Amino acid sequence: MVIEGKKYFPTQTEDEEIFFLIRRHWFDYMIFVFVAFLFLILTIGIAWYLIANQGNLSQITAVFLVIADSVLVLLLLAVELYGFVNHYLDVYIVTNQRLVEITQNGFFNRDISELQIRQVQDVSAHVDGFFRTLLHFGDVFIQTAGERENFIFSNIPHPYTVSKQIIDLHEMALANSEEDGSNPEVKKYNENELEKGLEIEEVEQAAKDLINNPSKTVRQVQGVYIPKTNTTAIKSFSKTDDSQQHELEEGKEEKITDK
Amino acid sequence: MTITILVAAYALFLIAFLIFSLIGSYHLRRFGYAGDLTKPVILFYTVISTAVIIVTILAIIFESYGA
Repeated sequence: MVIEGKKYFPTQTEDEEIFFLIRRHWFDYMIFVFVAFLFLILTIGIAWYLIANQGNLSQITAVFLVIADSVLVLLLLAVELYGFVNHYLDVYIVTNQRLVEITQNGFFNRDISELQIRQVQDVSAHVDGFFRTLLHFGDVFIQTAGERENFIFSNIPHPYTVSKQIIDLHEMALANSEEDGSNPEVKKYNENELEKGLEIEEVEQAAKDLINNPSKTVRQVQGVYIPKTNTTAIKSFSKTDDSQQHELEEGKEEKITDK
Repeated sequence: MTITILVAAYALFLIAFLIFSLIGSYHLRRFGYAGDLTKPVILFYTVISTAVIIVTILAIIFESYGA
């Protein structure tokens, strides 16, 4: 989705569909509202004093108080503007192809990080504390494949819904890339297996079966590509000892809970 | 003389404030999206700031010459 030729982030492609544009929860801005409240009390106090003592103050004092009051109000506006830029220009975008994290730190520091949605390994949501629980906001942690830095969507509203949607999009992206054969990890795995001498049809079928139904049994996991979505499956399989392996070879299946 | 110094200091503050406001508004305009709160905030900020500055200038004139 591109509105009037303006992209939501620099590398957005024309066929990229934006599912979420998330900003931090308004509670995150409360510190600036509190500062504004303090400033307002001070400025109202000065204005009240100025009006109450109209005619009794010397000219220089009156001018000084007028200027001081004006400076306080303008400083209040400037602080609020700074806070708003910091708060409102932090944006998390979820598209059908990637996750984008845009962070604005002050006026002259802006970071944009991207993550292909296929590279997502695990997504979890955390809501802790009184206000977060009451107002339904929290953090979403997105673990990535490899050594990439994990993504954190901080203080976003409805984190559980967002994390579930990211998982759904991830699975959809995996399924789509498998259908058109563009998943590079599957390709690489298949090439490796071919080098080992397996039949191409066998490998392709096994990879397809597993990706379409990634967490059925440990036995199915053997010898085929393991999608990185199902970390439970990978961990369980890696922990299987010799005796379990023997049982598995005999045909006993061990269920793995799908995450 | 002292009032002149006060007014000159205020003028310097206004210049700094103007630069700061322009930078902030530029960021909101540059990185905001269609239909979001950035444009209303720029408008609100500009209107309130201008009103405060005009009222202050009028009050200074009133306190200096009008009373």
